[in-house]
Amino acid sequence: MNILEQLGLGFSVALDPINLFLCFMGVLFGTLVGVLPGLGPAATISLLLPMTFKMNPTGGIIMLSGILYGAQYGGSTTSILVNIPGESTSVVTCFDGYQMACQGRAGPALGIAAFGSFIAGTLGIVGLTLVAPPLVKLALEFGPPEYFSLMLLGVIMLVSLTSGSIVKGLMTAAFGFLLSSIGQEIFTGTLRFTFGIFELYDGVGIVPVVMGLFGVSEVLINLETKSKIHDVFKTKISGFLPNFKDWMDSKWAIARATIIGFILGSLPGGGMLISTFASYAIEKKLSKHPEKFGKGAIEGVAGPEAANNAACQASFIPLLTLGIPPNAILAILMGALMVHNIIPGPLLMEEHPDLFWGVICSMYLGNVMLLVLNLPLIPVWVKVLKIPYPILFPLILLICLIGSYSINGSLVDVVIMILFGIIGYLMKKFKYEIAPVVLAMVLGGMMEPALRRSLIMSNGSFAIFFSRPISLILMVVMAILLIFPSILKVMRKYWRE
Amino acid sequence: MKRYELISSLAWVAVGVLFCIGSFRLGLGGLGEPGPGFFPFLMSVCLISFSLIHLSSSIKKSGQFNFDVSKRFWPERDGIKRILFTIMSLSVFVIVLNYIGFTLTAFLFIFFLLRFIEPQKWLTVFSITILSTGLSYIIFQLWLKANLPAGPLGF
Repeated sequence: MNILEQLGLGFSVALDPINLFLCFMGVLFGTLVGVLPGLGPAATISLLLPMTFKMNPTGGIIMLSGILYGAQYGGSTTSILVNIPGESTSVVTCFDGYQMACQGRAGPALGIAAFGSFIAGTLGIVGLTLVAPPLVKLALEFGPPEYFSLMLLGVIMLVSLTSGSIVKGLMTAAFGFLLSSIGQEIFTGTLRFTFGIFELYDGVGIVPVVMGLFGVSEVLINLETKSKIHDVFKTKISGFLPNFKDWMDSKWAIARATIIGFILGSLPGGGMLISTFASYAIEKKLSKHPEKFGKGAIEGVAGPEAANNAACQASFIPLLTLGIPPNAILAILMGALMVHNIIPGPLLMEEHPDLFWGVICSMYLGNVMLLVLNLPLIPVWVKVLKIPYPILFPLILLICLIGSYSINGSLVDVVIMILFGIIGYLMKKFKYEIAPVVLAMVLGGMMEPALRRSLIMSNGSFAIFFSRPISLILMVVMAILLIFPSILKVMRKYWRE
Repeated sequence: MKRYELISSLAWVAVGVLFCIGSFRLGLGGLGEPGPGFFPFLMSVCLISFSLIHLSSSIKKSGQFNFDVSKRFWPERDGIKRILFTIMSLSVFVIVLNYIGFTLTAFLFIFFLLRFIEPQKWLTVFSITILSTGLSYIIFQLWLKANLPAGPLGF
């Protein structure tokens, strides 16, 4: 099949009325949870997951991925209007977006965020369309050592890019790997750390852990202080279309952010959050007037918003081609595929071309829907934001409770969610990063077999990870990531003296 | 703030040691033929060593942490009360769910949190409680068939 035939097949699947409707529902739900602070795409996807069990898998995945990229659009609205990021990926948008709103330019800020997201999202899918097939060919050459090195690189990258302290990040990653080892072991069927609890035989579920660590812990942190009534923008928001100067100011920011987002998003452990910070930092550095950043520079909104959408689309690449979920949300999507006995990985494109290309093509349509849908609905989202937190948080908790219960119909999952809510709260208090725990837990289940198979292949020698070219390159990158910050520190000290 | 780094790294060491003992019991196997305990053993050793590195570096250099010193570490009394009450109501939810059914549990849960964490007006409390319980019953039980447990009255 050439690319046109593949896209033709994809669009014929995506344009099916039912799939079109599911795509619409996905992006609508996604924007809504993007707007609501404290309720992320992970929780929403988990909630709707059981519903997709009875659906045709293609339709299900189309809807669930719509939630993910829809949330990237919605998150910016709250950042700009209320200075509260709806999603962690919109934290950076607050810096300049809220300032623009204060200067009466809320309209163009929202507009450039939506258009930037659309442009970068669409280009991201174009990249995904072009990169996926050759990558699948490469992935077929991957053996256990390459898989192991790639996944380890993903975790190391996340640790070195996000956390303040690399050692603390490595500690939480190791904890995540330990969590992944709970349950029945696949080589011999030995039960590990299950304490006779039947529900733990399949391992600790990713959904309750994510809901606890991100959802419940966030609520607990917010309950520390009495809630304030946020100042939602009372002035009328009008004129979403950015003017000519706005476009000129932000065109290169969007272009650069698309590339940064695409590269960082396609790497396991990279992802949306990091790409927004990277884009903001680069725009500030390259700008002729860096003093304007933080005071309402439109590039500071356009760049990060474009970056998170490009990254979001790119994050499907490792899942669809290598079968490696680059973050917790895609791990949940992967779980949805597995329920239908569809294993993501290099063979997916050949075995299920309708699903593979259908999902990709639905993203083109979903991005168009989001652009059309997002701007006219902003007044509705502003109303949603006016719900005071003391009313909102019981509802968020109820959704988390139902979500974690309904996956397996088991109270053990609910208990796990509550426990991880408390653990997450303490980790946040003691300044430990949560993201490495989740990524390590997601990847651990695949990394352990890869490690053990590699060692069996090499008769117990770790040299196997350094003697195969692809694996060696990955290991070198990893070493650079770990050593680089210390070199930087030494160099800074040297310069000062 | 140094104290908090010490406490937390010691807690991680303890977690690591527990997993380490557990993996030892599972059987480590040889390097060429790793057993079920091999991977968790490796990771618990990593956890313990990273925690010890963090512990020693936090003893050495004091006052270089990213804690916000101007803010108290633990919240005010009222804040702690709100957090503990919320955790308590989550736990009660789990305990009673299978006995009195989803709808009643959700009703009591929402009612309690709305009225006693940051008290809302009675009218708000009742309308939100009834609305959210009803909607979640319709959406999750009737539409999505989430198989939430029914109580003695059948809902």
